[in-house]
Amino acid sequence: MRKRVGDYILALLIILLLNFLLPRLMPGDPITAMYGDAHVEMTPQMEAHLLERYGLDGPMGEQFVIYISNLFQGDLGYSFYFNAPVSEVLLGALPWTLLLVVISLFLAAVVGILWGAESAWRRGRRFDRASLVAVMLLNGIPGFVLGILLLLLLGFFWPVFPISGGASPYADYTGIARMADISRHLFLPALTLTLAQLPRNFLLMRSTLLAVKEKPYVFTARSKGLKERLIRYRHALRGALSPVITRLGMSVGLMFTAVLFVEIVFAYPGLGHLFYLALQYHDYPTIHGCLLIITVCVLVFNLAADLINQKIDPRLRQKDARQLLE
Amino acid sequence: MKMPNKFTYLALLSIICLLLLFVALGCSEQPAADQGDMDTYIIGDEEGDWGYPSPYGAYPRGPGYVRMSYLFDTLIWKDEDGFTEALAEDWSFDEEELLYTFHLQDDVKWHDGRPFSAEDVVFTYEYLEENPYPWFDLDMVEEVNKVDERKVEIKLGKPYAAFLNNVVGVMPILPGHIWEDVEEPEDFTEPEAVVGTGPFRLEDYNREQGQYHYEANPEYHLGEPVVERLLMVKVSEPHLALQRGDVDYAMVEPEAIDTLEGAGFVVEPGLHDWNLKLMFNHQEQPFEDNQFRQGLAHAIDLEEVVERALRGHGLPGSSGMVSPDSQWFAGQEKLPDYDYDLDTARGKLEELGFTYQNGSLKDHEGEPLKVEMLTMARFSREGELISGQLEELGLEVENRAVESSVLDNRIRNWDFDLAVTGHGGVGGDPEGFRNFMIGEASPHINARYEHSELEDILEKQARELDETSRQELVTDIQKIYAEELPAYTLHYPTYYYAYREDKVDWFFTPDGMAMGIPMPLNKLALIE
Repeated sequence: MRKRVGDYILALLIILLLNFLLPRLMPGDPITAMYGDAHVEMTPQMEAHLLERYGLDGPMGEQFVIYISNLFQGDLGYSFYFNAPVSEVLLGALPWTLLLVVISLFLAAVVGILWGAESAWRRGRRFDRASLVAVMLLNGIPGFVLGILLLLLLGFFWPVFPISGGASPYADYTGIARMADISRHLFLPALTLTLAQLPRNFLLMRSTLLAVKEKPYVFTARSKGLKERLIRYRHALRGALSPVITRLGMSVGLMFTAVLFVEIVFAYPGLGHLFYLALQYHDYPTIHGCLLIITVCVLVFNLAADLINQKIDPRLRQKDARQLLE
Repeated sequence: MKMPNKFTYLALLSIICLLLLFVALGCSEQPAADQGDMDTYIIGDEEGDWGYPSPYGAYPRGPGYVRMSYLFDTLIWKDEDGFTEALAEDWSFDEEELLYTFHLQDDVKWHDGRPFSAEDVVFTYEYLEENPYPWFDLDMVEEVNKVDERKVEIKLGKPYAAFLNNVVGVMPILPGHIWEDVEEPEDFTEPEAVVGTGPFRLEDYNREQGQYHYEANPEYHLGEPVVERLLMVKVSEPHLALQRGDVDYAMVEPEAIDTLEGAGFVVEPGLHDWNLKLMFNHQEQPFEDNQFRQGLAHAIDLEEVVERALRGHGLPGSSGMVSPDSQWFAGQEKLPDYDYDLDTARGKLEELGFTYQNGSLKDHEGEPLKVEMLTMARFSREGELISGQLEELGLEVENRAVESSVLDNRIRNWDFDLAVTGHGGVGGDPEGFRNFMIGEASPHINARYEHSELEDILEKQARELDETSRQELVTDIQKIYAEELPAYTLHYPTYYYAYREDKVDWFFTPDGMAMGIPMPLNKLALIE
């Protein structure tokens, strides 16, 4: 366990270095990206002022030392583009993304697992075939197309849900009314993201369970005369859950990029769009901040997936057995 | 996990509850409706966030400046007919002395109730000189003096024709009593940082949601705002948001025009201030020769580019770069016309020693002419069309769509043959044209051409204070540019703006608001 946490810390350090270097290796520079606009008068004096202000006038090594030492003091730097401390910019966007990602991840996981399991048990029957067709169809529609379809259907032709933003602008709601307002705005983005994530969970669960179904312990359970429901959910499902949970842990990183299209289609506030703008304008401090959050989330969710897997699958708790499995 | 079946039921139950909750919430009343009264006006925008609307906090883009301009005033501003009063009720210019005199308005108050005075104007000039401001440069100003409480004089060190348009009409006047102690203007985001004299006050700014809430300033010196509350919000599909009644104004896609007009909206094309252009690496052969560049221009069918890449929503390029909407446009009849004609094109190249055989152009050594063309990914459609047309001429073109920072970088380093890129500012004051034609400023969009006559005239027009003479010089600039063709303007895309006429009657400002922002959102449309 301690070794495992150690691995995660080492990974974090390497990633910090990469996070610092990679954005600076992109072609182009922040001044052109931000002030390249024709209406802006960029004098050499102004350029020197900006480079100094952004801390880009020193050598790269020095910038890295400053970045790391500030980071360990809890200072994420000052955003070039947003003209505000990075921590403030990130904290403003993070709750929206977390709300969206966690709800969609949870829904896509639960629905995907249960549906996949039911489909596997009914392999080859009408339910399974219909489910496969539906899921394949869903999988074939790109996420943003799905988003636009839902937006048109439920936001325009049958306008039950709002189509833009995370809450009604300046509607002065408080308490329950505000929560309701936020949920109404969350509905379409969360539904889109859930539907976009669902097929992979379904397919993985279905195929894993198909393999597990044939395992001797399922046969044993059945020959013991256990109830079908117990066999399915306590024995077989539990055995098949491990790869799905590992995948969920890994997919968190992807979710942060997947969330970008949802944020764009529904003008939803959040990290995805922030990250996109930061990349576009070469806003290094904000890029570092976004990457750091994504890194931490991925590591935390992977660790959580590891721990849950150990809980579900007792074999993973024993060192020898783990080696045997590997 | 002792009772997995219970867990499963719990999970199922929670999903159903969540879904029911959402459906219930979804069917509840629509709050958007209660904002539909006459007193709130909502401007929709796809980007949403343009920065904290203080003079130094707003992002250096047109919409950022517009948001700031509702809170702050300049000495003079522009309406549909040109310059008009703002904080100065009138002004005069002494050409001998290069001295501008501004008579200030009476009884103007800052949003915090303090009176505005001539000292604030002097303070602003000094502050902006010390803390560089991205929109302009104050090099040409020698001194700014307060003559009395209502009179300010600005003396220039050298003649500068664009002074009113590019400096006086852009410079937001800051309250000295607030800014005198501010050391880092970019970091100054206290509520005082948005205290101006403008028609609105800032109530709230929300970066994450990309929302602004302005309240009318009933004491505004030029008249009372026609709306009490002005919101600027982020929207995803502007034409749907308009039809849903979420917003009253938005920039829309050309495809939505008919639907919106049918639904009672006014849809107007914007000013053509942005141009897409083909840049030549004139530092290297074969592009060094302007006859070669002219040959390529003859091989490009601009009408087809506009028709196919913009579906007709744009104007074909003028060889002189300047937008046909601009008062400074020379007129197409005065400029050389590079009609689409492959024979003329080949003729020009053959005079230079290239030969045309079996559908391919060969250089002096008989090698086929190969070029690489870089295109900004956003304009890959144009890139494909133009490379197709140049192949028709007999060139071997390798067309590569690249990300804009790659493109900027390679153009800056002269590491390209042909490049398709673009910029705004071709409909503004001619002072800005220099940075697209000569010198080293903004190298990623600047042709950086060396031509002594062009350089001389660009310099001369900047100092020419007589408007008619300046117009002639600017016409000459376009003639030389079109003849030399250091870069070739391909098209000016048309952007459309839709709004309900019954609330606010927007108008376009000639040559754009302030330094040339080509949007209808002039604050004067918002006051009585």
